[in-house]
Amino acid sequence: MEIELTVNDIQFKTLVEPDEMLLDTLRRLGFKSVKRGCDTTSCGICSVIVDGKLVPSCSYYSVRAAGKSVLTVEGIQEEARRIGAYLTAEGAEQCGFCSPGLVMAVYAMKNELRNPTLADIKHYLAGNMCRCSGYEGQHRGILKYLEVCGNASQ
Amino acid sequence: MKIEKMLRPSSLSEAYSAYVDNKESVLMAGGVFLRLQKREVPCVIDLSLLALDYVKDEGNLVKIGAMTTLREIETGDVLPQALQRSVCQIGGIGLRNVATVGGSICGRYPFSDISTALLSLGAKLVFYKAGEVAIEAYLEEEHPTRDILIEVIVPKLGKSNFMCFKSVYTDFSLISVAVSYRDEWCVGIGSRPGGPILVKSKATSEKDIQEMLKNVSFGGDNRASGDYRKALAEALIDDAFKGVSEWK
Ligand SMILES: Cc1cc2nc3c(=O)[nH]c(=O)nc-3n(C[C@H](O)[C@H](O)[C@H](O)COP(=O)(O)OP(=O)(O)OC[C@H]3O[C@@H](n4cnc5c(N)ncnc54)[C@H](O)[C@@H]3O)c2cc1C
Repeated sequence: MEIELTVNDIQFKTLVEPDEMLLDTLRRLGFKSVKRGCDTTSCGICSVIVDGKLVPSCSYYSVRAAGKSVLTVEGIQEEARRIGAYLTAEGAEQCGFCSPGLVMAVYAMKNELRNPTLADIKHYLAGNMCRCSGYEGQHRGILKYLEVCGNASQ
Repeated sequence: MKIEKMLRPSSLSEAYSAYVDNKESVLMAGGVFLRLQKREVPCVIDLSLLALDYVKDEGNLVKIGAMTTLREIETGDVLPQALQRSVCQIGGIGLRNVATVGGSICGRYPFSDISTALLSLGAKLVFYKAGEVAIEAYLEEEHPTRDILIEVIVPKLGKSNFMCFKSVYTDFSLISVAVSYRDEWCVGIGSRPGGPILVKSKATSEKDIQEMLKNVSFGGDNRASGDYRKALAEALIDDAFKGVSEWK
């Protein structure tokens, strides 16, 4: 099936299989920040934003992205660098495999929630697993990042 | 799941004809659970272009389109608390932005937190051909006829609540309970082998809870024993009743 979609403001026309997942389409189109983790919608590593909503690209059928606007880490490089710097400063980065998904989730959260509390942040990011660093450092880094963005409750 | 062909109908009649004409075709809502199945399907019918994604406030009831996502239920402002609470620990936000209420009901999953809440609330399901069916009757059917769920009608009860026990925040529940008051206490019990069921009681003492659960089977599986599930259910129902003053 042929679909047209926009990825990071660039328009693409591409052929997809009926059972192809957005993860595979995006990687084929060159967006290699998008990583395959559990491949069962459980870990959040493959998260991207479609029409403003965070979705697991491993379980999002590519045909459904037709006519939609997709955002990956490549499309928010400046912001991703900032989020990454706050995480690193709190010792919350090790292997980095989960980072693209986490960065997209933090970015989506920043746009969706006004002044989230720590509990709101934990709830929003509960679907983004990290197997190296634990979550305390992530939460500290994210709170600081939101503070600087003027979007933190404390 | 391997899919040979995907149809993307733009009307319900088109979707229904394709579904009944080809007995091997499969309906797709969020597709999140479907895709985990290890099988080959000749034809999948995508329901995402049928405008079934809505929450309508109709005074004393709410109509929820079958393609409404779990996240829309979580963040909606006119829905009963039991229903909203039942979805908010299902996977992460990403999953909830894709998985739907229709897929959750029609998947008939024994672990379904949502069906547990809808049972307690006395929800009605509206199918394209069969029309209105009580959720209790639908879940009891062994082999439901091929039909398309269009919407879920949920009465706006004064108060309701949902509680579950998960060993990890976003894991499947080991047991879930939903309580509401409709002339008597209506308690949905889910995440037990055998699927969600509805039990009722006139009163809320510990003795009443034990009496209500007397004939409910709490099977064991590799996640929890039946005895453990029963003890959890008793404690959660008791907590839900005791917290009645905080109900919304
Ligand atoms: C990792 C993971 C964790 C989960 N954890 C939980 C949990 O803790 N608690 C919980 O309750 N649920 C949980 N779920 C299930 C989830 O909430 C959804 O119920 C599930 O994903 C199905 O929804 P869907 O929209 O993806 O449906 P699909 O996968 O598209 O469809 C499911 C089934 O319903 C049928 N169907 C779909 N729509 C209709 C319709 N309108 N009419 C008739 N038939 C239809 C399909 O043919 C299919 O058989 C989890 C799922 C995953 C993947």
